Amino acid sequence: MEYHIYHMFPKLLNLYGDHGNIITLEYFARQLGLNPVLHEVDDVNDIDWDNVDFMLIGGGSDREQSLVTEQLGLIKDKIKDEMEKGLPILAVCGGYQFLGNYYQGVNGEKMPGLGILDFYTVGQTKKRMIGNAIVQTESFGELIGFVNHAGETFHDLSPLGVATSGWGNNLQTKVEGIFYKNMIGTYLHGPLLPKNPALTLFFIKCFMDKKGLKYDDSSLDLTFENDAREMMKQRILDDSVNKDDFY
Amino acid sequence: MSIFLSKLAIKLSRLTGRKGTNIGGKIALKFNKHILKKLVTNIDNIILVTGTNGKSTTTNIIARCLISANKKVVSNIDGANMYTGIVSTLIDHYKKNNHYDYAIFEVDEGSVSQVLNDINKCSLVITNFFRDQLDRYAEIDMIIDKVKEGIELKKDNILLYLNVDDPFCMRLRDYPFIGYGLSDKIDIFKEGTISDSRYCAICGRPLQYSKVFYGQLGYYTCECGFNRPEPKYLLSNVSNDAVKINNVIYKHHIMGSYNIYNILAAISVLKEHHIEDNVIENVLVNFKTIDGRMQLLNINNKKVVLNLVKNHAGMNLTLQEVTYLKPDNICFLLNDYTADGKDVSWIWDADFEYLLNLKTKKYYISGTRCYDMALRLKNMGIDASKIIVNPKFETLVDLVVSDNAFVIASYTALWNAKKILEAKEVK
Repeated sequence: MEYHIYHMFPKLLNLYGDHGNIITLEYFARQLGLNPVLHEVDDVNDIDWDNVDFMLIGGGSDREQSLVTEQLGLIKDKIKDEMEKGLPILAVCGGYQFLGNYYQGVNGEKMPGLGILDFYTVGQTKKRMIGNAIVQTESFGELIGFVNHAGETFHDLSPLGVATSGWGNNLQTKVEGIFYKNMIGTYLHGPLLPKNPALTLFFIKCFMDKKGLKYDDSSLDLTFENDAREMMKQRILDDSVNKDDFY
Repeated sequence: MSIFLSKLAIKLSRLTGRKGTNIGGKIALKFNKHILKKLVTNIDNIILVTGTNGKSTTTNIIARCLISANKKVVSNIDGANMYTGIVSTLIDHYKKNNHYDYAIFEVDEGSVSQVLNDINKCSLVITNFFRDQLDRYAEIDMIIDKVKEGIELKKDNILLYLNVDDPFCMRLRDYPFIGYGLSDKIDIFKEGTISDSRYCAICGRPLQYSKVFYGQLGYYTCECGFNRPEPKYLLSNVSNDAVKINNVIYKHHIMGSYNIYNILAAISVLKEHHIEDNVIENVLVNFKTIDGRMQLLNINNKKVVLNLVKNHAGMNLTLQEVTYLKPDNICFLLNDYTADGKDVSWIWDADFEYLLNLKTKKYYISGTRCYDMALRLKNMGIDASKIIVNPKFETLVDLVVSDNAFVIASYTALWNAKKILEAKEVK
């Protein structure tokens, strides 16, 4: 069965290897017997809303981000509708910030977001939140990734998890991301999906359940995934990840 | 006194088996924050080389040609290219009343303004700007702004050498510069899938391209008038072992087609300094890299190529070389120390998919992020049984070199790999 993956504005929102999320999703979709079809959206009129099975909104530099805001603004009601109906969405970093009401720049100016969910982000120059992170979640266990942002996000919505190592949504709390219906907003790059198969499989299972397909992941070989997670986790926990011990 | 102590520290560091490329600088700076000012007083010409990719090779070509032309030269060709590394190099070569015709230094983009601040007059060669170690510099715009700040400090005493094909470089066109670039007839590069942004730095509109070499390099124009200028040095023709620049043919033996940009940048500088063509060509023909940049090793009659890769742009160019050479084994060494960049996500931006058309026997992977690299290959469709992973290169090296191999190493993995492979070559 065709599995329609929508990557929003990949030419503009392509920082920090987020395309790796797509490569990984396609890989696991094939492993589970689906036929992934990738749609790289440069124009929102090209979206066939009856056949969107997954949507990725990544992050870009400030200039690119503002170019995209305009285009995504045209479909914000549609995205909200689909999200409420359970469309699996992964929104990373700038893509995550987009979903809120506004981004307040360092000089106090407010750049409107899509307003799909009720939260906001405030830019600051005190400290850039950079580094490896482990986020403990209820639904997906531990997520391992890398964050790199200056904006501080604040919300009272259901979070994705709590950062047990590294940064969360802002400088004050360890709460990380948003998990609402089947939508995940997060600052975790890495890219996120390759080292977190629980999340990849969650998105695919959403689709298979909706289509009434039997989901069975017992034959998947996750050796490299588990090794990658174990090694990174160990290095983060003993802090060797922050030591330049090759000298 | 500070110079003496620092020299001692470098020697001690070497005795303990380290490279000693930064330690002297670190100590000297404790005594005098601007010691560089003092160290460059007896140098007639200072040439700095910066940019994302190609710094070392460009620096190396320029330095060797100047030495061949009987100039007295000091250079950091062992690669310590931050402020402290440059200070260390100068201290290491320091003797009272010592005089140099040329200092030629490759300089990390992040150190350019600090270095410029402490010297009077110089030339600055800029190779290109690509995304590199974004965790350290946040975004490419910020890197260029930082370099620009440094240039602004010295604007009446600096001559730039700019790659006119790179719109990022040409953001610096308001300063005195000599341009170099390729003819639009040059057709040796594959275009990558993830490009750096191709937007006008002046007005923000998308740039129009009549020719793309790779990344954002090419022939670009913008409605607002921001265009690629005609370069003073034009590379108009290329064959396997020669380039034609301003109608002069230079033979060379430098592997890696992307090195034509580095040869061009170096020749632009050398011609401005009246170095003769036969001197240049002689260096280019006898050029043997020993610094892990397309370094060719012969190990038990197997050909092994070692190359440094730091970012997705460099990876794409290197993978193209891999597809030309078709090695039996491919080895990736990926670390995530500060000098590599702690964020290795760029491996997902590079076009490893080129490898899918090869009949590679085995992929060997080491380094602190070996499993991330394994996932990159597996998830794009390489059979997991062909991927052999171990964090320690020492455990894999004999398998790697049992056939013709191409070894691709990140910055901090390179030195160790070079040491191990060179030891095999001797035996």
